[in-house]
Amino acid sequence: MTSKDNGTGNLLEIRGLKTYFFTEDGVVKAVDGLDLEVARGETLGVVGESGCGKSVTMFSVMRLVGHPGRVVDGEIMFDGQNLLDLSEREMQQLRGNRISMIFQQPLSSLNPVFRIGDQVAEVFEIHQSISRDEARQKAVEMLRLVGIPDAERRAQAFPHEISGGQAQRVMIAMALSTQPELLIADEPTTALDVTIQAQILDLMRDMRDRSNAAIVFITHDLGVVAEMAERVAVMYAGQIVEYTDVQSIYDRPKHPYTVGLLASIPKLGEKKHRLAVIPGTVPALVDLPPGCRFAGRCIPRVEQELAICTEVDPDLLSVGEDHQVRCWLYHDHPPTGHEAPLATGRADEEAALRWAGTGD
Amino acid sequence: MTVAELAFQEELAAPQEESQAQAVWRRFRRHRLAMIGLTIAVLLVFACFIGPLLTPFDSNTIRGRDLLLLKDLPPLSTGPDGFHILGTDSLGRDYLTRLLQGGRVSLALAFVVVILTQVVGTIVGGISGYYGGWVDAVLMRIVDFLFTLPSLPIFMVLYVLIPKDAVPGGSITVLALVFITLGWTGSSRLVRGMVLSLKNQEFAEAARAVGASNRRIILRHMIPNAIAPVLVAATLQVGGIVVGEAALSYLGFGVQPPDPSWGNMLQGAQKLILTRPMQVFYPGMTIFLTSLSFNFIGDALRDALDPRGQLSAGH
Repeated sequence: MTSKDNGTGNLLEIRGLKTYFFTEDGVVKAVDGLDLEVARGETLGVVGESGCGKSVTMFSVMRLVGHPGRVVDGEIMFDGQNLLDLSEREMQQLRGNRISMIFQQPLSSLNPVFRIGDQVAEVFEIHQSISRDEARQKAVEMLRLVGIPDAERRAQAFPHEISGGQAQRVMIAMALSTQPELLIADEPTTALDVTIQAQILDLMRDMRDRSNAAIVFITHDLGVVAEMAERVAVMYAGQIVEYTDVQSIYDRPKHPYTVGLLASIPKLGEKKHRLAVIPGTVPALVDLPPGCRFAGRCIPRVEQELAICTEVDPDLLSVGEDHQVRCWLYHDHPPTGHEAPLATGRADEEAALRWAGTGD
Repeated sequence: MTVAELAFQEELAAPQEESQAQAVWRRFRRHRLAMIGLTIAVLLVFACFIGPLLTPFDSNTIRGRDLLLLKDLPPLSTGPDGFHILGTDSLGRDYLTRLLQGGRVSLALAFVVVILTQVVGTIVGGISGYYGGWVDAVLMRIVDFLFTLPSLPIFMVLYVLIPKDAVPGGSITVLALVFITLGWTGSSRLVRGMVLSLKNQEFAEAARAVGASNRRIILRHMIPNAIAPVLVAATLQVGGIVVGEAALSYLGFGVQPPDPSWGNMLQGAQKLILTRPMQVFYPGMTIFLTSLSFNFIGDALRDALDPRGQLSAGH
C-alpha cells in the first residue's frame, strides 16, 4: 500500500487494532482488525455512518477508550513508538502536545466556568513551562490566528457567550497551540450550520498548510471528505471496507457500501420520487453473523447469488494501484471449498454500480 | 459595510459582559428575605467580632467585686440600667459583653467548622467520584458508616474522650474537632454525585484529550463545576453548627465556663428564668436570628446559582 511519504516513514501506523467493549449484553467488537496509515502532513478522511467504529478507532489511538471498552489487540505506531506500550503519564505528555483532538460539539467541549482565553492558556500551562501571563498572551495570539476578532477582549468571554462556530475556532486554537504532528478531528463540523462549516474547513485547511500537521478527519459527510481529504478510508461495522485516494473514491468506488453511500447523496437538479437508500440496517456488533458484515444489505450479493459472502469474512485486498477493498467481488482467490465468485475484472464494476439504479 | 460584516459586528456587540459571579449576585438580590438575612448576618458578625472591643466591660469581670467582698455579699444579677444595657448575669458580669463575646465563639466555630468540613468533603467527593472503583467504594462505605451514627451521643462521647488540655484552645477546639469528624460526609456525597455526571461530559473528555492529568481535571474542571450545591449546603450548615453548639454547650459538653457561648449562656440563664426571663431570651434570639438568616441566604443562593433548578446531580 503506497501512501504519501514525506521522508521518514509514516507518522501513524495502526496494525490489527481490535477494540472491544465488554458489556453486560455481550462483547461489542467496535473495531475488529483495523490497519491504517497516515503519512506526515497527509490528510486522511475516515468515513462511515454512526456506530461504524471510526470514533472508537481514534479514541483508541489517543488511549481514551473508557470502561467497559479496551484495546484488545494490535499496535499503534506513532513516530515509530507503540502507543499501547506507553504509561498513562507518557500518554498525557503526548496528548494535546504531539497528538491533538477536536470534538463534535464545540460548546460542550469547553468548561463552562472558565473564560475561553484561560482554557486555551491551560494547554500551554500543561505542556510548556511558562508563566501564567505568558500562557495567556500566547493564548490571545492563538485566538487571533484562528480568526477570532478582537481576540484580547473576546478571550475574557465565557463559553455560553460565544457561538458554536467561534467555539470550534477556540477548540482548533487549543488543538494547534503546541503545533502537533497529528490532529484528529472527530466530526468537527457536524454540529455547525453549512456556512459556518465552510469557514471552519477553510480555517483547518489554512492551519494545515501553515503547520504541515497530518490530519485524520472523521466524518459521515462525503462532501467534507471531498474538500479536505487526500486519502479516504470507508468504515463499516468496525472494519475498513475501502481504502484509497479521494479521487478514486468518487471516480471508481468499488465496495457496494461505498457505491451505496455515493448513490444516496441527492444531487441538485435531479428529480426523484424517493431517495436512494441502502436497504437494511447496520448489524448489531454484539452478535455478528459469519461472513461479510455488509452481506445482509448487499444488492450485488443477492443478484449474483453469492454464497461465499455469508460464509467467509473477506480480507482487505488490493485491487489496483493504491486501492484496497474488502469484498468478494474483487477476490479471485477465495479460500478452498468455496466457489470462486466473479474474478477481478469481470462484471465487478457493473455489479457494484448497479446500485445506482435504486430509487426512482 | 457588507451585510455579512454588519451581522458580524452585531454578534460581537451582543453578549453581556457579566461574569458568573455578577449574574449570581444579581439574582440573589431579588430575594428580599435573603437580603434581610444577609444584612442581619453581617450585622451580627460585625457586632460579635468588633463589639466586645467597644464595650467598657470585660466578659469575665464581676461588677463591683471589691464592694461586694467588703460587705460579704454574693454577686447579684441586675436588670438593664444605664450602666449595663442588658443587665448582668448571676455572677454579676455584663450580659451584653458576654453575649457578643459568646457570639464570637459561636460564629467563629461555625465558620471554621463549615469551611473545613466542606473542603474535606469536596476533595473526598471529587476523588471518589472521579476515580470510582475501589477508591470510591471504600470512601463511600466510610461515609455511609458515619451517616448511621447518631450525632448528639457521638458528639458527647468524642467530647469526653479528647482531653481538653492536650489541645490548644481547649474546649472550643475540641468542639470544633467533634463537629468536623462527622460533618464532612454531607458535601462528599453531593460532590461525588456531581462529579459522576460531570466526568463523562464532553469538556472533561476534551481536557483529557489535551493531556491534563487526573489531579488537574479534578481540581480545575470537576470541582468548580460541582461547587454550587456545596456553597448552598455550607450556608445552611452555619446555622446548623450554631444550633448544634448551643445544644451541646447547654448540655455541658461544649464551651466550658467562664468562656461565654450562646449555648452555655442559655444554660446559665435557666435558673433565672422566673426573675430575669429576658436573659434567656437574648441568647435564644441570637441563635434564632443567625440560623434563620443563614437559612434565607442558603435558599436564595440555591436559586441564584442555578435558576434552572438543576443543582442536584443527574440532571
